[in-house]
Amino acid sequence: MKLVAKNSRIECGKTIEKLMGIHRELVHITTDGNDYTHKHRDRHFDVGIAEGNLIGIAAGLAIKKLPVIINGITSFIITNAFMQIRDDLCFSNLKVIMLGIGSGISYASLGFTHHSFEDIGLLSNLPNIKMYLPADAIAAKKALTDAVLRDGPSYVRIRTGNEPVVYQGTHAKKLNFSKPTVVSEGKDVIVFTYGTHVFKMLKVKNRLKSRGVEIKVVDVNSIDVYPRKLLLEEITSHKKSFVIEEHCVETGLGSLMANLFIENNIKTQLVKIGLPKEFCKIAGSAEELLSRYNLGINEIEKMIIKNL
Amino acid sequence: MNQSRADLIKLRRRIVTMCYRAKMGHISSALSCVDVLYVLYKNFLNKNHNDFILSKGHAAPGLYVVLNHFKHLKDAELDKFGTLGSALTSHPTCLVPGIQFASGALGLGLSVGVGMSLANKIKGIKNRKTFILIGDGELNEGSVWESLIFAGNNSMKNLIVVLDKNNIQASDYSKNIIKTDPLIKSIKKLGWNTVFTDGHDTEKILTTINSVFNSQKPTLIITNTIKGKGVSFMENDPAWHHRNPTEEEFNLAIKELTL
Ligand SMILES: [Mg+2]
Repeated sequence: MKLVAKNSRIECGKTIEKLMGIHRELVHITTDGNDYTHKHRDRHFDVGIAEGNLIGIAAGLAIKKLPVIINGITSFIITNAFMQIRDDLCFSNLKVIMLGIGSGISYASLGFTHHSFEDIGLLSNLPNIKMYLPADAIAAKKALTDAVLRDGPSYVRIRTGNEPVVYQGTHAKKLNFSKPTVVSEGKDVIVFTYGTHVFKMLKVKNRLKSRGVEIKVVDVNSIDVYPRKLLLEEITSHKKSFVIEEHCVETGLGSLMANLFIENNIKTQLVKIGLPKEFCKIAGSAEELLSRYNLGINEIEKMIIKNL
Repeated sequence: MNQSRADLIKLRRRIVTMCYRAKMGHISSALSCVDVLYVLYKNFLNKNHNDFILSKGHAAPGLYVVLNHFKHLKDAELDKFGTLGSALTSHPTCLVPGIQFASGALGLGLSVGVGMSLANKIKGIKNRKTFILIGDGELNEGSVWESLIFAGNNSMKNLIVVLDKNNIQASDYSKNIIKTDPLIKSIKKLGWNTVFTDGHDTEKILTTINSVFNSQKPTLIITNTIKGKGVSFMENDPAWHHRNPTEEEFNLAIKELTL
């Protein structure tokens, strides 16, 4: 299949405009992102560089039954406005969709202030919120569309820049945010991942196939109430599980999975590969930095072989 | 004695009594703003014509008794304040009938009120006001300034913020922490209409609110108040922010709050 790359941020901008055309009450708010979308200016606002106010205003709109999509840089929104997310959105279960841009270490050389390795961990503590972890621009668009139809707050985690598309051709129909997506079957090991690592894992899978190792790849496309039971079914079908994520592995999906293993007395091995609990203190491209954290394609391949 | 004065003595007595019984609740904060709450609910909020947010959530006992007085909250529910299973916690939530927003962490209510007012504008509902009651201590919060800037910039004329200026915050007099007066002057510069009134005079409160109804800017009504108003030994004493009366103090307070 031909490799297609799309930019999630740009695609989400188009989707927001489209959704605002369909849902005539949907409001869009940005935080110094006034250039992001252009249509429907009567329902578009920019609050300036003020993340707390961004979430508070969104809550007020949602209390009056107007659903809201907000977008901004993940590391600023989630950490700066965590209290508003907790008290204003989650307690009252308001329909506000937060599109977080530049997640993980995708902002690379912009430095640690722009990285988000703790967003999933932080939001995992909160009731009512659904976290969408789209693998590519197609999934991100679908996540926004899905979130607008659900009650309660949502978070859509995207990176920045052009990214390869997973959900095209035969994969496209598989995506459904009510269950993890099995993007590839394999009998030897099972890998749970999300975001752009779904594509990376498909690459690794092809490489390991020539060595006689078969990998099942599961895209944990969202974290909600569903993963516990459904993930458990997946875990028990394999002798060895891996979690691969661009997030602190102690508090992200790795932690959620580890809890499942303990609570259900699962004796098979779980290997967690993700960002360490440390600040990135060096420059480099996103791919270079990912490699340093064992999250590049070559490193993941090696880590899987080492842990077979 | 006019009806309002009689009502407010009764409401103050209920605040003190329910907090004494529950052994919780910020009594002096509620006594500080109960007159404003009474005027708002009697004249502007009773028929759901306008919206209200209590941003200084710790004044909840004042809100509860006023909601009860105007029949939004049943006696049986009010009597359960602070007891196991009751939705009436020391800070208010949207689980209480008549309350739209959960507050308690300071500095959050103004943004939410701005959002509600914006919603009315989008829906084309003209002249529906959003009232937000904030404390003077809340002006320390950066999030309040984010919303003050936004509302001023966007001339949100249907926003009326009432500042309960009792000059005391949780631990001390405001002048010993962050001075309030220069902050109020700054708000005017941000595009707000600012007016002062006596926060314990129901007629003046009503006249002031009516006078700003056609303002082309968002309005800040600074109500000068006394924290603990109505109970002599609680008045203007920071220690009463957290305190709950002893039996002797309770009896004294009730004696003072008698018609
Ligand atoms: Mg005060």
